Amino acid sequence: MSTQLPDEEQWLLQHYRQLSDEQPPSALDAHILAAARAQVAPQRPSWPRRLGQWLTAASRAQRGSLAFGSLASVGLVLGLVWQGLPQRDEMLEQHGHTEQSAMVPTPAAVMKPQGPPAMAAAPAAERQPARSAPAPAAPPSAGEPAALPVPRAAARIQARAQADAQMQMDEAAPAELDVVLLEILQLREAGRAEEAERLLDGVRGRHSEETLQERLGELERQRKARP
Amino acid sequence: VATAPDADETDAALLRRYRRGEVAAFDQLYQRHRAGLYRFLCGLSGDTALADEIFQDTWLSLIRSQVEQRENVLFKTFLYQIGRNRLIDYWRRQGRHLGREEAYDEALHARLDEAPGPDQQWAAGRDRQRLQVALQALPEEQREVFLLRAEADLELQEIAELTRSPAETVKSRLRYAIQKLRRLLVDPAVTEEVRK
Repeated sequence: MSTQLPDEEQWLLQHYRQLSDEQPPSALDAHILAAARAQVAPQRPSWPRRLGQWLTAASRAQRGSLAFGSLASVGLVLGLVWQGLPQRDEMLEQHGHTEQSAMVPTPAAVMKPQGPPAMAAAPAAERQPARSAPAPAAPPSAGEPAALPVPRAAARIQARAQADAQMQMDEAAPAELDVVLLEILQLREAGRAEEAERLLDGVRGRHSEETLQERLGELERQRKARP
Repeated sequence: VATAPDADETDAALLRRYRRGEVAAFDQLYQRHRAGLYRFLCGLSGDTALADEIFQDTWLSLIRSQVEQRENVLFKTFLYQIGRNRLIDYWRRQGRHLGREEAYDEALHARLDEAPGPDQQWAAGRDRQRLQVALQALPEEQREVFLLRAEADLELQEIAELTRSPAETVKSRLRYAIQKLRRLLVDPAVTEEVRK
């Protein structure tokens, strides 16, 4: 069916539209537009509906809060783990030897007694190697550089203690020897040669004959040189 | 986020936006169709006060209805059908019936309706008044088809669907309505003859 109208009909429609100018009253416009606005405005539901909505919303919120809290807790734990592990490693690197020496006795600590003087340390260690000293450590590898200085230090300290003891013995020995040798010289000068010889035999076991004769000659010269 | 309605936005799109809470979409929809619907109701009822009442009922019915606009039906057809049905319901309550198709045939369509127009409008002699008188002189079925064509700018097929009438019947009603109106408007003597 053709919807085209003849020109005459088009003219009449156009003429009618030009003459027709009725408009709805403005009050009617305002009433309808206000009703349209009121219709889309949020309406207050009845109390059972509000209660249902509140319960639904509350349970939804609780579920959401629980999920959010769980995620936050997991994130917090992961963050602490990731940030805590390197710090602990650094602390172990910085204080590892201190903690280790404090908690686990090192071979040096075991070999070096706390109370007795250093002089007695080495003999004690030598006397009880199986009971107080740990098992012999394996040969130090390249990954254990700290294991090597400890025995060396202990040996150095032990050697130093032995040297100091020998020095003290050496320093005390001449003075004690000189006293004996001077007494021998006085006995000889007094004509008491036998007593002087018995006293000299007493020191011959600890000193060589050469040392004794050399020291005796020197002390005799010093006595003669004194006014 | 609500955006300002586009001037080219379809009526159905505006109605959907209004259903989602955008009042501005309804404002634009109302501005598009308020005058046409109002003139359709005024012309069909011949009663401004009744047209006001039906006009308001029509829009309020649209506002309060939550049904979406069907895609295959023009909003104009939907809107004018609401107004037409409201008017018919009113007439029925008043004991008046729209549509006397059984009493009309093509021969009757060719005859001028003898219904007189308002005397005061005749006396004014103005085109607008003469037009209103001539329009009211048309049989209701012819007047309805002409108004739907002139005010709602509906195609004949759309008018046929709205009025639930055969398309050929609609076409003949429109043709006879235009012939009568032209004769009434161009030749005042004919109008005077109708008035008498």
